[in-house]
Amino acid sequence: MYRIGTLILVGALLIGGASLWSGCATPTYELRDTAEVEALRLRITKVRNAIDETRFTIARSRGATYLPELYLRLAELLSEEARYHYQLAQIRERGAGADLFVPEVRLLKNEAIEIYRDTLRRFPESRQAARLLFNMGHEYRELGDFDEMLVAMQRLVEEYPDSPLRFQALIVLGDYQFDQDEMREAAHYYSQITNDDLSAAAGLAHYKMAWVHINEGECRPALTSFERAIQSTREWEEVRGERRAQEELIDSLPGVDQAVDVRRNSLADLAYCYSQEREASEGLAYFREWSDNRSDYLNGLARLARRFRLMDEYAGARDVSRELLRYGAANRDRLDDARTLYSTLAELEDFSAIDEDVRLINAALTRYHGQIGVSRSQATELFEEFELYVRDLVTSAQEEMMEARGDTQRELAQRVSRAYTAHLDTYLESPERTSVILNLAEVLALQGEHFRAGQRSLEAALLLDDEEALRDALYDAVAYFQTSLEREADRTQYESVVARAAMRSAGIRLLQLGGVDEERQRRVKFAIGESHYDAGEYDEAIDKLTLVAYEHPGSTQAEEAIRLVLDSYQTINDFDGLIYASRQFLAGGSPASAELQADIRNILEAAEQKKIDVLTLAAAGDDGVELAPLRDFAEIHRGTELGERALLNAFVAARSAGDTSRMAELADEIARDYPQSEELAGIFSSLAQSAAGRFEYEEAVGFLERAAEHNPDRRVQFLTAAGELRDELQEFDAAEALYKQAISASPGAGGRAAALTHLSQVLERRGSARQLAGDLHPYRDDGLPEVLVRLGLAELARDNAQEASGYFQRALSATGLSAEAEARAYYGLAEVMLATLDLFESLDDLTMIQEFITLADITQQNYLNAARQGSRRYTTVSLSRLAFALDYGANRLESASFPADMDSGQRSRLETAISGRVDNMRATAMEALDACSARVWENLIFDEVVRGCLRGDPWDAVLASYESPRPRRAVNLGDEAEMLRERVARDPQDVESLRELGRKTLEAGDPHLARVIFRRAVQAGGGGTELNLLGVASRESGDVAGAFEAFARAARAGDDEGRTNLTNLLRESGHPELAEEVPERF
Amino acid sequence: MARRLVLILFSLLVSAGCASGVEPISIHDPGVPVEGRRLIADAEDGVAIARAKRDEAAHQLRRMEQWRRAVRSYTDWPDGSSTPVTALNNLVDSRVRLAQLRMDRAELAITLAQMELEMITARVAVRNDLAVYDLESLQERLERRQESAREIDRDIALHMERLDEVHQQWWSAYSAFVRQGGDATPFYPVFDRPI
Repeated sequence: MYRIGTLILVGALLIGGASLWSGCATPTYELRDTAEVEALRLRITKVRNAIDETRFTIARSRGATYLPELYLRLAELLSEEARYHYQLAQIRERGAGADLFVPEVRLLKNEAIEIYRDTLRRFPESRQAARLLFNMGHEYRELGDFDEMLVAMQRLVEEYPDSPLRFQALIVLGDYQFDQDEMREAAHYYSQITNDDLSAAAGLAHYKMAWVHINEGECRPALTSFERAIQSTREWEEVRGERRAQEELIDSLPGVDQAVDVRRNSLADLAYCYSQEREASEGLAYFREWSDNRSDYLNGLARLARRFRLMDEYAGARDVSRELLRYGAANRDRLDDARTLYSTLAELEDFSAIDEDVRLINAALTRYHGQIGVSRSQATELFEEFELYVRDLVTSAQEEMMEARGDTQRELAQRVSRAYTAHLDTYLESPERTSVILNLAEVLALQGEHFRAGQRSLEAALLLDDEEALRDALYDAVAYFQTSLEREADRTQYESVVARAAMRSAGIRLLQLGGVDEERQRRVKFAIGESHYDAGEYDEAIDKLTLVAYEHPGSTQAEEAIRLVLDSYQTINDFDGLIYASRQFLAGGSPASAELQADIRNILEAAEQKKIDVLTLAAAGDDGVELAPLRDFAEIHRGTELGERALLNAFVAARSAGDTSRMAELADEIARDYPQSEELAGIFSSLAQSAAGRFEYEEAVGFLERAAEHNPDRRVQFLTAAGELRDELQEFDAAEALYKQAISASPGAGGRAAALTHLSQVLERRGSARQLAGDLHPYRDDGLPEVLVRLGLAELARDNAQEASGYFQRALSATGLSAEAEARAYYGLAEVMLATLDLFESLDDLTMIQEFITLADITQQNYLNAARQGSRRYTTVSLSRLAFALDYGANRLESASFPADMDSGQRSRLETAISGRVDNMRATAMEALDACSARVWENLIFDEVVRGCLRGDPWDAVLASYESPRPRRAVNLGDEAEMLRERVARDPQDVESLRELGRKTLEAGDPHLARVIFRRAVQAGGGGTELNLLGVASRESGDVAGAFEAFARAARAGDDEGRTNLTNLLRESGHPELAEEVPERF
Repeated sequence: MARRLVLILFSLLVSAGCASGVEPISIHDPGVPVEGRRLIADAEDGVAIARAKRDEAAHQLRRMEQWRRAVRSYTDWPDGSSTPVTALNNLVDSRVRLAQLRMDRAELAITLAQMELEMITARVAVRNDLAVYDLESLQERLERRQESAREIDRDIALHMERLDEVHQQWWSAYSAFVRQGGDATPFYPVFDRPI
């Protein structure tokens, strides 16, 4: 063991050493076969083993029923070995020549043939007979012994009609004839398959028939055969499961064209005939219909494409190329397809799908160029080549687009823009990139995609060196962005912001570049300014647009710029700015046209009014009026219509707040600064109204007089109103003067009616018939009843009874006769009658006595009519004068004498009658006096006439006199009364404040004004206290009658002081008897 | 500037915890009638609004000052443009001044709003017997501040008149420059306002 192990070890060492020695000494090379050869050799070994085994099995299977199968198997194995030997020879002889000399092949095949023959002879009824024949025929064919082959195959066909191998044999027979160019014979064999039932070989048979037709130059039947080949194969596929056994048999047959993919090859091979027989436009649909998978489809299309290329069938080539580019693998073939597509499109000038086509062409390039096998230089060349193609196509498409119109142009524009975009995305290094970008911009603009067009123009500008081109690109960018901004509805916020910023940037750059013509400059600058306006950046917009206007006066842009400037101010409610800007554009040197300036004037006027409205609104705050802003504004704009309006508004605001001191200040200011203002009259009349409400009558009269100065049209009314105020204060001289001014200022009779009426009343109070007649006579024809009756009374007092009568008659027949006027008219007529009675010199005639009595009755009636009219004054006067007239009449009748020759009895009766009449008259006189006296307590009248009645002295003159008031002395109440005045101005019904104000006025020594105040207090609801104070003021002012009435009403209201004052007044007036009645009556 | 300092100081004094001593009333206090609380709430809103307006005025002032710096630093004026450039600088200064005045006014508006809030709070308190305050002196204080506000308003109005004159000078100079063939382009970017 040890020794063996040692020997082994030594041996190994020796061997290893020898190896090492040999390795170290001389290198040796051992020839070795390739893997293919090794594999074949292995197969040969295996098949030989199989042959040996089969022979061995055959040797031990004598008489077995399966001997034919064994012999078949043996022969096939021999054939297989022969094949391997042939393959081996092919590999070894590679490149040596076409003909191979392999004797083993012939030997083996001959042996196989012998086995087949022998088996057939020995077992003619075997199930494998057909197979044996087929195999034998196959071997003969491979050996080139075609005659024997034909015999064997023919025999198979004839003797075994039911064998599925029959079809294969027919195929072989047909192929032989086909190879011999005997098409008819080949067709004979093939048709035996095609005309038979469906079989595994049917498809192949049709396929070969198709080739027969092709060789005979008959494309139509060839096409049909190809279709049948495909169809048959499809049908066989569907039933192959059921016929699996047959299929397995076929699959095991040697030599049959199992490698032929009938469907694929048919589809590819029919391309030629299709191109001859069918429409190119239907090719895709056709091939799609006859394809069972994508690979076959594309394979067939590839052949069709080549056909179309050769035929110059551009439309067909275009369609097929597109399809191949869409679905084909990324290889060199696609590049050819892309080239085909380009050339067909260029030839056909078909740009209807230019975007898609460019995409396909680009995809073919980009999918290929990145492959490992493509070098950089190849890729570069391809890019350059394809860039030219694409650029050529797209620019041609653009030219066509420019000539199109309407929807066609729009659609084409979209495609062209997409195509350009695809070009730019793919060919980054294109030498014409800038031109392409500019073209794209142009197309986008035509599409209405101005925003993107602008972006592209800017992009091109970044690449341009040529100044002229750069200017154009920048200008286009500005124009595009501007157009984009004008289309409000289509923009997103992002686009708006970017468009504005980009436009401004491009515009500024363009301007800085210089060399831009004047029109372009103008447009660009305006666009920049407008972009600020569009963005709501009104400050910048105003400045920049104004720059445009001043730089390019009179241009369209200047006009538009000015409008936008003004609109900017309006938008931000900056009325000051709008006013200043408007003035600026109206001033000398303005860039605005005359027409625009007319609009600006309207804007300015509206802005000024708005500004004032705002200030006025602000002035009327919650806590009182704040006039400072308005006044400041007016101060700044003094001397202008604006300043005047501001002051007027301030005045209105002060008036609304009842601030009369500021109203007066403002009125003075307006009158001083704007003496021609049409509002002055209204202002002063407002002031007068306000002053009167505060019982500042002096000021009120003054304001009315000033109002009259400033408004000739209303002078009469203002002066009349002033007179009424004086009237109220019992300043009758001043009132008279004012009424006369009003009357003389009146252009016609209608305007002076009120003044005349008041004047007639004032003159009546004065009691001077001469003055009354003289002052009123010029206006007798105005027809005013108030004037006529007083004129009549004056004439009557001057013994012009006839003239007076006429006035009274006219008054009574006038329309609008007041009760006072009617009373005076009847009174006047009664006085006329009385005067007539006085014309009777003596009553010594019965007729005269009769007339006298009648006239006396009429006189009485007139007095009574006058008394019935309800005049406070003339009822009393009429009653008193009636008493007078009746006494006069009674006295005259008493002195009447009868004629001497009158019968005594008659004389006695007359004397009795006259005596009765006289008594009656005297009694009536007494009644009249009593009625007059009774008015003291019934109507609270205590004037001179009534006091006369009380004394039993009827009034003995035509004109009843009035008490003259004491002269008035206006007083200054000071600040103490100011608050009271404000209170009563705010609230005319504030009785308490009115009372207090009246007291202060009375205490200050102005009973006339106090009287007015107290009267207002009584009207506002004041009670006994106010009435008593009214009485006090009336008394002190000289108005005894007024005092009496006030005290009586106060006493009636329960005021003790009033009662006391009444009693004292009656006593002081000389009527203690009436004073005694006071306690009873009140 | 001096006035501005005075106003700021005054605002600080007033706003530093109710110098007049009026205790704030919560608008959620159920013990105060709804009408009173409403008045106080409105007054508080007034303060908030005044502050917001002050912030806006401050922002505008900053922008104007930044713009002035930008204009001052611009040097690439075209030949012969000294007159319009001078007029432009005057315009810029004048606008900054206006912004300053408005800022002053806005500051004062806050003070006024705060004082009005005090006034209303005091009135509500007095009416509802919550506290006793000297309303008259509060009113007097308020009126004094209102008078200050009126003064500033007057200053603003007068300054706007002045600004109008400056504008006219600027546009006159600019249009004259353009008529003489001057390059107006550099004036465009100068009017860009900072954000």
